[in-house]
Amino acid sequence: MNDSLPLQMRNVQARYVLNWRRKSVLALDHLDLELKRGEIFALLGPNGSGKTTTFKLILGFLKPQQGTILIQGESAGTRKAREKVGYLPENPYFPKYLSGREVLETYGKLSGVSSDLLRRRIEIILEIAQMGAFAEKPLHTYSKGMIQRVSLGQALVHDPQLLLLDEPTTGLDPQGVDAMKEAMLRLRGMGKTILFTSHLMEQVETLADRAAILYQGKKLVEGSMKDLLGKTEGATIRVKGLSSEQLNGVKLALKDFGATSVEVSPAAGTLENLFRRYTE
Amino acid sequence: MKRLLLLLLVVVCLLGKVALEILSISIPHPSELPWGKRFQQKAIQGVLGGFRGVIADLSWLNVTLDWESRQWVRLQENIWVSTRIQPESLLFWDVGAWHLAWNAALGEKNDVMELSSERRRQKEEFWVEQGRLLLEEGILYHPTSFKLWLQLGWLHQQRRHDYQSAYDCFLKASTLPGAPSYVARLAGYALEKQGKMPEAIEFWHHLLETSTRPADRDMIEKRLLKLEKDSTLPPLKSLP
Amino acid sequence: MKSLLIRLYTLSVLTVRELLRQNVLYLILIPALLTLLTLPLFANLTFEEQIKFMRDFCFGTMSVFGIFLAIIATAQSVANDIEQKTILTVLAKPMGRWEYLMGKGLGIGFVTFLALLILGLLSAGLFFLQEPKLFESAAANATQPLTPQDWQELHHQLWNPALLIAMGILYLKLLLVIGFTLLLSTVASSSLFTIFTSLMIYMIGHLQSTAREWATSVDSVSIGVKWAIRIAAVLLPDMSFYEGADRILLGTGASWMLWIQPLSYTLLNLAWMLGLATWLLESRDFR
Repeated sequence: MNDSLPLQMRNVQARYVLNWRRKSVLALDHLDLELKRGEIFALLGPNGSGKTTTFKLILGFLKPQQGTILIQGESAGTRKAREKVGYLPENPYFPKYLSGREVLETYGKLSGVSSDLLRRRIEIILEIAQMGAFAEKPLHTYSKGMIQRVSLGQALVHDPQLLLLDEPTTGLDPQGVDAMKEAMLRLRGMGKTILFTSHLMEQVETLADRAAILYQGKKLVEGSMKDLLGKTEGATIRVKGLSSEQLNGVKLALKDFGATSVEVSPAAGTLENLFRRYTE
Repeated sequence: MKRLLLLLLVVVCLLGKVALEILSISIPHPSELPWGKRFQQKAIQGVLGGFRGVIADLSWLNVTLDWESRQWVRLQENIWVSTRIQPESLLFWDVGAWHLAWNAALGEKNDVMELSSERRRQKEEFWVEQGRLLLEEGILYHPTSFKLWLQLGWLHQQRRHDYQSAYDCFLKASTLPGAPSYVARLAGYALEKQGKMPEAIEFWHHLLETSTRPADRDMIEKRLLKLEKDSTLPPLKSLP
Repeated sequence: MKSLLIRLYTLSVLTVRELLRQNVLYLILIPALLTLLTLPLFANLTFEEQIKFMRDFCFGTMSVFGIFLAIIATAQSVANDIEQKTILTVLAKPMGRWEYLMGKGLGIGFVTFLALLILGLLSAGLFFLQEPKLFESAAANATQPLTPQDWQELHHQLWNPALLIAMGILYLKLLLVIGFTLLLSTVASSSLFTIFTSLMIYMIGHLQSTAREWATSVDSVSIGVKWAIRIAAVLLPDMSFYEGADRILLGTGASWMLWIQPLSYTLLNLAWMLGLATWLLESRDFR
């Protein structure tokens, strides 16, 4: 095992015990995962595939039945390991009467950051998370996107090497998504390693260096985005200016050429682009 | 390893807790009190909690009102409630017995609405008896309280004219912590009332030997002189 | 060490601020204050009886409402953290789970202390207002005129400093209640369960010492029952350690030593409860 790697998971198996008769369900089945320094890694999969379970194992909220999890050489769940991990939960909740700055101060103190260092760090975090304009206002005035930025800030406050972001863009509007993506890219530029989960494949495409797809606790595939996307069979043809009758004709012609499967669907991202055009 | 140490700490502290409980010198409870009553008391403490005293006091308020309105049965019920809920309060037993053996008893004795003198006498005796039973029960909860023994002595002397029992109670009261010096002298007077002069004189002599306060010695000497002067028996000892 | 104290302080301040914003605190405190304010209505008693009544009333209010506050505030505090998943962001930080529990306990303990202080000050105010009437009644019922010594004695009865010891003992009792409620909340799935079970433990704790003695001294009790009681007694708190407060209130014994036993008992219990709660929290899987 390489102690300098931000995260190493070997042969990890986790179960959830359901009831007093110790009936259990397999949440993760022999997962191997290794992250390189300074990369953004996406953990994809539908609901119930084991993404959040993976995070909880890394943070020590769950104990694996089998396998090892090391964070820069430290066993997951130990205090030393938690010093090296920052966590942004899905649907984060903070006391509403605190301001953004106070949240960062509170979590900074809980992380053991000294007051001078904490003050300086908070200024940097406010800049990275683009929170400067509303840092002094109480959280009950914040939108979902602003709370998400505060959450990212508290994950960064003790300067961890590894960041775990659980569905960081869920519930955000396109501007919020862009802001979160920008922040993540900046953090990668600073040398941070980011492991994030998402079930929105299209958002991941532009962001992640590498990704793995989980399904029912098993890792189906892992690799760089280039490799993963390159593996896709077939081709995409974009067409403009044809009527639906003509599109059907094109479909039949392709089948005559020997195509085993032809899909015709409206062009993707049109609404998203329309939204951006009107709101920016 | 860390979790084992944590478990060890838990076990050690638990053992310390148990040791403290075994060695505890919390409120000394009377050993004569039946287990049923002890459990009852603790259950009331647990259920009523801090308001136990308040509920007992509210019931005691009714005792005063019942006394004023001469509702003796209700008075006894309210005394019972107060003493059940807060038996640690000496006031309830002491004053409660006074209400029963004196106020209720004399109230029945002087009840003009009761024409039969025999029935008035029986009722009076009944309430005196209730007062006695209350004090004896109170003593179970307060075995080291001189006040209740003293009150019981007064009850035997004044209400039942049983001077032997009065003597026993006054003597017992005089040996308990906090008893004023005059309590022992009451035992002497009770002996005299029984007509047991030799025993009374011997008792006074013994009291004189054991008394240290000059005022007490003075009173005892005066009493002895009077007794020896009135008595036909030769003096047992001469006073120094 | 410094960062540990900062973490504990931060968590307790957070807990205090959250509790002060909760309605349950005021739903308990306001009735308590109103209860105390009815005290002057019960004035038709002898001096001794009035003193007893005032002490019982004030102390009883502090005790009852203090217990409810301690249990409900503790049960809700941890349950809310788990439900809203705030606990995950906190425990994800490099801090021990015992620090989280201790921070919570300190915060709740502080709020309980504040509540007792407010009720205690109000009680003292009521004593102050009632003092002239009490002395009037004492003088009226006396068989001879009261001497300056008598007045001093009456004053001492009303303003007995031993009452502070009684309040101290009550506070220790509330800390114990906070301790076992916190322990329960680390394994409970709902705050209602924690509240109910804590109240049961509080009540059964009053029977603990008597049950233990009964099991030991009565021969007719079966071995199975004896051991069941002994084992239960190991984990259940013995509330009789706090009866010194009742003795002070009844005037049957007051000494500064009366607080030493409950203090050591409370500290020992809090230590094992914190240890066990930490162990359970570390073993708990957060889904």
